[in-house]
Amino acid sequence: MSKGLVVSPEKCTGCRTCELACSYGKSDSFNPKDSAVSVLFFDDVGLQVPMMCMQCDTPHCMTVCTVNALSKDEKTGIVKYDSEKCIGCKMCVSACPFGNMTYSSRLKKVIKCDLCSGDPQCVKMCDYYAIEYKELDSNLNKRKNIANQFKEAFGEVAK
Amino acid sequence: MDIEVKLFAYFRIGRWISKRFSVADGVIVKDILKMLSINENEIGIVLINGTYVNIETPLKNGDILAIFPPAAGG
Amino acid sequence: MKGWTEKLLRVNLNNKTIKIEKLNMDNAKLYIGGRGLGEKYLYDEIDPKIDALSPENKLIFMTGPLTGTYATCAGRFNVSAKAPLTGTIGSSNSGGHFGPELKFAGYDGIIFEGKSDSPVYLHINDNIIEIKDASHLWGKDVMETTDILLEENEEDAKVACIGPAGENLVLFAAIMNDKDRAAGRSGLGAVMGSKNLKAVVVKGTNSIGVEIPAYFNKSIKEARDKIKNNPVTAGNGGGLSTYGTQLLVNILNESHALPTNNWQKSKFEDAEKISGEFLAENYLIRHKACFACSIGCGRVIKIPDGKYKGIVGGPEYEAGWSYGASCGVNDMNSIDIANYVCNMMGMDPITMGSTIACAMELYEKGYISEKDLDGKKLIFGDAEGIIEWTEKTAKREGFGDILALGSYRMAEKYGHSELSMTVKKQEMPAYDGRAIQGMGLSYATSNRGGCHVRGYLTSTEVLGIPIKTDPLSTEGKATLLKTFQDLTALIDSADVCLFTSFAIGLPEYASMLRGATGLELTNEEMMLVGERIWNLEKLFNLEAGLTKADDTLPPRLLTEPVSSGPSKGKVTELDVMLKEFYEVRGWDEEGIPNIEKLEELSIEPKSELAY
Repeated sequence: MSKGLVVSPEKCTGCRTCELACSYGKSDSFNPKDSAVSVLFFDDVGLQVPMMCMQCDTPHCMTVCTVNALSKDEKTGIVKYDSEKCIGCKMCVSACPFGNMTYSSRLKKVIKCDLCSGDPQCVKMCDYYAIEYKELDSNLNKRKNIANQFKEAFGEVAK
Repeated sequence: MDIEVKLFAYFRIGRWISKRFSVADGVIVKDILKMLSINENEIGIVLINGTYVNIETPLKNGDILAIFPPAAGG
Repeated sequence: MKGWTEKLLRVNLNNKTIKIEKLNMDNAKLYIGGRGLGEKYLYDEIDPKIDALSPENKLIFMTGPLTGTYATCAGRFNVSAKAPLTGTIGSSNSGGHFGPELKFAGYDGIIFEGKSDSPVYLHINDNIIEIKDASHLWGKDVMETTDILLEENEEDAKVACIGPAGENLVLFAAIMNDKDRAAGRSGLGAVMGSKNLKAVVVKGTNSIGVEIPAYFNKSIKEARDKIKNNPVTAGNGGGLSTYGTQLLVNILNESHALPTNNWQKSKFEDAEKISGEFLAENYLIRHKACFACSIGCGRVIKIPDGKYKGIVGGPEYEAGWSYGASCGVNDMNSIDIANYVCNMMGMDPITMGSTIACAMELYEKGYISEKDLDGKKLIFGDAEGIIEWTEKTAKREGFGDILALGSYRMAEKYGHSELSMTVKKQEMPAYDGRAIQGMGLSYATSNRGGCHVRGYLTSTEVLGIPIKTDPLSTEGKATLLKTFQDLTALIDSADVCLFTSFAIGLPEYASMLRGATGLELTNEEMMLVGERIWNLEKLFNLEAGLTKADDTLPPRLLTEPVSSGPSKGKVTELDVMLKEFYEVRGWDEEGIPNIEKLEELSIEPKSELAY
């Protein structure tokens, strides 16, 4: 069993507190551009979706990294990033199928979610419970529910 | 005696919006809450005929009782 | 000091120069930010007597020291200028994401001066700041303008702009951001339009630090927990998140305090059909929050069909009321559309709906006819009319050109200004000041004209927050109002949403500010900041030429008693409350702050006045 972030877009209000909590947790200052989570807005359907690294089991970012700056912790499932090893080639940014790796040219490093070593600040600060940290196994029912809500939301405009 | 009870916000869930009742003389607001299984500490605003009252207030024939959870806006 | 960026942009639209200057930190400590600090700059830099739509007026955007942090609901910004609708100091604040982005770009605020000779917009990307041509945007609505600007610039930038209403100098035009968030009142959109300034586009990548992180964290956690555990403010299932502010419709209606048909009645028989409950059941898609907000009162609703079909921002209580009860309209969908048209066109729906309601009464009484109304009838309950006249007002077409002046100037034109439900020519919102006496005093003394969020006594008189007082009694209302006004001025200057005050109080605001800035203020000092701001606003208005005679209410509230409910037979007992209010404020009988009071508040008056 491993724990991970579960996002419920239908609960997200677009307040972006998660972005603030993430950057503040890492740097003691607020900057959504330094956040590993981004809230994407879909105004036409009135929906917001928080996006962050999904800690893939077969991380493409890790596969393409030639200097082993990315590694998978088998116990926690976290794909860890070592900024000391990183040479800033940005291959991982291209490789991530979700666009969840960001390179900050200002900070000269990759910004990615590390689950705050098991105490994700975005989850802690989300007063709408749109991001939760929980066991990921046997999650199919929840996924179905969310998928249904997506369907309803997007179907609303088509009506 | 007859009274009308109006419910608002989530008090309507599983109940109704407005209903007329025949109740015994001397009934107070608290008794109505009990009848409706509404917890006293869920109460925000109670009005009888538009006047703010507390839950110990007795009802009279023909009264309109409006019950709201805590609410605000602006 | 952290919290503030300590930098301010000064943009002169006459000669297209841009300067970055240091924020006046002495003033920042006295006025904090947002409303207070913006107004202080305004008071110091313009003559209050000028024409609000002249190039001499300045338009000041100002954030606060908490903006951009995760201090709960503190992502706001304020806009100040002399107001065209009222001739008073104009100030209006807004949520959304624009304010924080300005902070991330590295600026506490922007002061716009002068007037551009052609339409322009300001583009800020950190320290690259340009005045750009906006002629291709002139005439476009807020939604289109925002989309085009994001495409032309950075797609993740934030846009504050005006719509056609601001361009056409509609006296109650708003400044919109994030499409449906508004600095709505005072007609600041018209000031922006008068400067030929279509929009401000901002993108920022800087970080905002706080002075005492550990203390800040603790204070934010405490404030957020209080909001989260309060039945009104809880983001997950609280009253505001579930039903929006329109939950108030039924409460005010049951209290016989919901002004109906231009305040001729205090109860609307179809209130249920325009209520928050009805909206939630029939049109609500979900709720939405402003930046760093943990309450989430915003409505995302559907307009099911017609030319405005889509998923859009829904109305607030006062907007829903003005088009609904005040116009006698019981069709929620039409109200939603009229409100959406206001967002598209960039107008204040409170004044728009109320002005239509006033025209309806002028028509009902035979003071205007179809001849004035482009051949149409205009009766209470006209659901199509509220949409059509809103569209025409923004474009100043036909009778819309007169509606664009607001209800006072319109009614005055036809010889019946007494039918305008305004204070200082700005429309009073959704709470009958005869049934709620303190609200009557609040309207009469509001420094920006008829307004509910300058001293929201409804909270205590109707809702029982923080304590219940008798709405029909005038006793103690002056003192209570002063406290509410001062506290509100402080909250607006910290750029925190006023709705937080349903769950948190002075100690929480003080701790959040201290954590962010290091500024250590006692509760008394915090209230003094608010009082300073209130008195500065008052001075501005006095110097602009307003007098005690302007601290009044429409004759209807003073002479026509309420016709039903517990307040039946009541008028607003203004005289007794106003006298007491001036005393409580330390002002003389004419409502002029005495010199000792100003000294106590560290305010230096610019003009002699009575001194």
